[in-house]
Amino acid sequence: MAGGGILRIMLVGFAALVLGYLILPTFIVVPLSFSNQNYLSFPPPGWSTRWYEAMAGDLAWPQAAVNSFLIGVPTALLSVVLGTLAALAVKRGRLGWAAAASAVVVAPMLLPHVIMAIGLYPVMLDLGMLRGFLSVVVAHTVVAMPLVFITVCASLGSYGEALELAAMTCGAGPWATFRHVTFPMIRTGMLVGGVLAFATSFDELMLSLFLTGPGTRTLPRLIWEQLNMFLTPTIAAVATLIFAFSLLLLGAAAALQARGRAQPVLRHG
Amino acid sequence: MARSVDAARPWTISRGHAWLLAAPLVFLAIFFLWPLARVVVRGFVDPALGLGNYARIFGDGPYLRVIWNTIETAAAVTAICLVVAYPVAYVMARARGAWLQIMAALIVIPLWTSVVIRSYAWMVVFQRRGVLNDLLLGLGLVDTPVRFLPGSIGVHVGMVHIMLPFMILPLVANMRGIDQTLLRAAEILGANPFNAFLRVFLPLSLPGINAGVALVFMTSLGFFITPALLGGPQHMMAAVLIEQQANVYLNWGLASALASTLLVVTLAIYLFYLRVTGGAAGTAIGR
Amino acid sequence: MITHTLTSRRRLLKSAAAGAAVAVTGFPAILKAAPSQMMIATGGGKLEEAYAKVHFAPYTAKTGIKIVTGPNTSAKLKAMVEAKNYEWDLCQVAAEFAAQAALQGLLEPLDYGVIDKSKMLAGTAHPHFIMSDVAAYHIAWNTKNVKSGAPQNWAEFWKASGRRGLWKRPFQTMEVALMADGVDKDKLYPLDVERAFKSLDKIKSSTLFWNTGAQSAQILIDGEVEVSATWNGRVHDPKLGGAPVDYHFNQALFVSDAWAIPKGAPNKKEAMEFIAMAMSAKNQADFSAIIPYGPTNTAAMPMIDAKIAPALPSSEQNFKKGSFLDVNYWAANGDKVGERFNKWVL
Repeated sequence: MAGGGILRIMLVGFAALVLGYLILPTFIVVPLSFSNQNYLSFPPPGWSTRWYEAMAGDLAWPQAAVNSFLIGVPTALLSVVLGTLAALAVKRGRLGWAAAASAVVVAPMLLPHVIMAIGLYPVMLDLGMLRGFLSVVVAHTVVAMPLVFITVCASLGSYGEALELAAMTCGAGPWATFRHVTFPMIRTGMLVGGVLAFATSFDELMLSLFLTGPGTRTLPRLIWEQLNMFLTPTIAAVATLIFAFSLLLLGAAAALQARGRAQPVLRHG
Repeated sequence: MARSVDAARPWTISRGHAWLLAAPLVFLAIFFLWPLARVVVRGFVDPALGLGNYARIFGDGPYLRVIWNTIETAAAVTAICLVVAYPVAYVMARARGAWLQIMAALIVIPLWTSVVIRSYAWMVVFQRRGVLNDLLLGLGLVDTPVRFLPGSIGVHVGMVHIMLPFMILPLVANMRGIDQTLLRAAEILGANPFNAFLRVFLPLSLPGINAGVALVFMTSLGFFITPALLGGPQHMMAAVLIEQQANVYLNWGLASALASTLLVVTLAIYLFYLRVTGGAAGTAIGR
Repeated sequence: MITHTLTSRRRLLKSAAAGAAVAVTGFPAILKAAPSQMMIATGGGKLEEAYAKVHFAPYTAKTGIKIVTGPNTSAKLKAMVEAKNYEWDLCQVAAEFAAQAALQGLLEPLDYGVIDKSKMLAGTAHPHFIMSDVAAYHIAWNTKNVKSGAPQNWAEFWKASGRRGLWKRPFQTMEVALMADGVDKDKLYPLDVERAFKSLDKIKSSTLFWNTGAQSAQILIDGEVEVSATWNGRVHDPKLGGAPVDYHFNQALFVSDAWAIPKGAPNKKEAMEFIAMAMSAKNQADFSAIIPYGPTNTAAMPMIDAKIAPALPSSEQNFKKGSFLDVNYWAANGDKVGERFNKWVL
């Protein structure tokens, strides 16, 4: 849709509005975190940094953030590997039962997490996997893998098999074909799936309640604990810190890119 | 190099590459199908062997109505997300450099904020003395505060906010792969931009649409806290009911039967969707 | 030596491991049984901070047994007992849940030879769990919206102008509906379910049914409702902090948390000793000094600061204003009444 100046402006304007909507809650949450009161009220009756000071003295929050990260990253990686394999098989495997296979892969998204937890708990136990991060990473991968599967399937559906066919006809082996033809085409899909998988794990509560122990408390668990009385600005302060941290990461990534090693597209989950 | 006939056959169309599914399937068999089997069985044996739990679900209790509410809410959220996300993804797919990075950042950063916190932020926006009512009163558009909570507006705004990245990102991933020369070719051949979009770009973006729709719809089905905080009784979601049965009443038989019912119904919708879109255009998933 | 505590036994155990003589201990069986740590499931947050200070630290100091904690997700108790794998040695859960769990045989009977129940409030020491505090589900209002004439009882609450908030769960809400319809606070059970729904019908369209306790406090603070039912722990601190909320205990419904031990949990003996200590008058009084939940052990009452007592549901002046939730009624009827309630509320 080249041309059409007005249309273009309208499109860009609409996109800007939507992006504003996406960032709007942040503009509520950040001021809430600087409240001088012990309850949430917007706009805050007065300002202070007491909630940040309170958190600075409490190791639970940074520890939980680290735990959430240590669970989210392996979950995303494992989901990308398994989800991509499943997508390749279903889209390129010429299976008679592709629909059935894809139904099995996406089904975990459709089961409420409390039911997953009830079902998984004895299985993890039988397999002796309940200690440490392993069980929760595996459980999160079960629910996050469909996200990768779906995004990679979309990438594989976006272009025909003709390119792969051409490469193979020219004598490229399966691995070379995958590396030089298929992978570049699905890379973005894998990345998007990985980002969404990480986000899913990062905010998952019910499976974490079941499968994390005293040493593996996650951020959603800590927020859940906070809610047993009333809402304090602490949870807003946590959200603000995460926001600031992601801005910092993005800034660093942008700075790195500016120094020449530019890799395009969405790199900045 | 003695490449066998077999190897020379493109792997992409080889039946033999079904083994790629082996690792994910083994993984899912152990960590999903096995637990799922236990859950399904429990729906028939707990508290007593038989169809008692299903009789309750299909009786005159609240269950079918809540399952229907859940599907309806998820469908509405999906539709809104698609309409809102498509133009944004279109713009983003054509953006380059710093603009692309800023857009990506604005879409991805909200993902890191807990859904609980975001839902409370929307409460602040929509409540009687909230940001939106202040604005409306200030502009003189209304005389008395509007009651947004609990209600559909809050639920949809809150849920769409959470789900939008799940629609935009797959669309962008797809649209960036669309060969722009095809569009130019169409225009050279005399199609006006609108027609070129409708006949070339839109069909090519169908895999992205399908992926986004699948992601958003299925994720929305499991929604919990946002409808609970922003919505009224008509937004009671199946996940809330199932959680109540599992955690409050310890009635795992009914919880399992409810989850099984939800799974079967939504999986049927999904397979139907695959069939329909699979016939119409390039499929996202399956064939 | 009467004062021979687990700590010294443990020290001896350690020195035994280091190669010292153990002949003096004389308790080989107990030695083997004493765990080095116990896992207690709690709801975390402020409550756990209070438990840590009041119960865990003294217990560890006395016994040498370290306390670790985890989330008290209700369903996990059932999963653990079914699997006979005990991550929890004991748990702190809502009393109505404990009653439900007891009915399903998921809890170990408590040893009232170890735990002293002689001074407990009536009905708080159940064979399988013991209520550890008294909170209240009561009338509260936003002081900006309701400047005068706040409802004094549930009947007035039902008639209050504007919008009211109630919990979107049958327990407590049904009781309140009956009191609003004129049922005496001491004659609620067994609930007249029909009458309760008729009473609820009257206010359905002007009621915001909230889902979580934190939400109930927030809608009161924000003035989204004029009046709401909520729990005292949810509004006590915000009120002190200056939030526009106020409340009273007239016709309050008393609810509790409870200590319970998963059926078959291995460190039963230590868990009983822990509960005995946590239920002691001193610990209960110390807890109520931090969290505005009153003691269930009446011996704790005289040890409580007179300045704090008015905020505690089970203090002398407040206790007579309300009545206890019947957890046994809900354990037996919760599922069925809950189904009707969910259908009604839709």
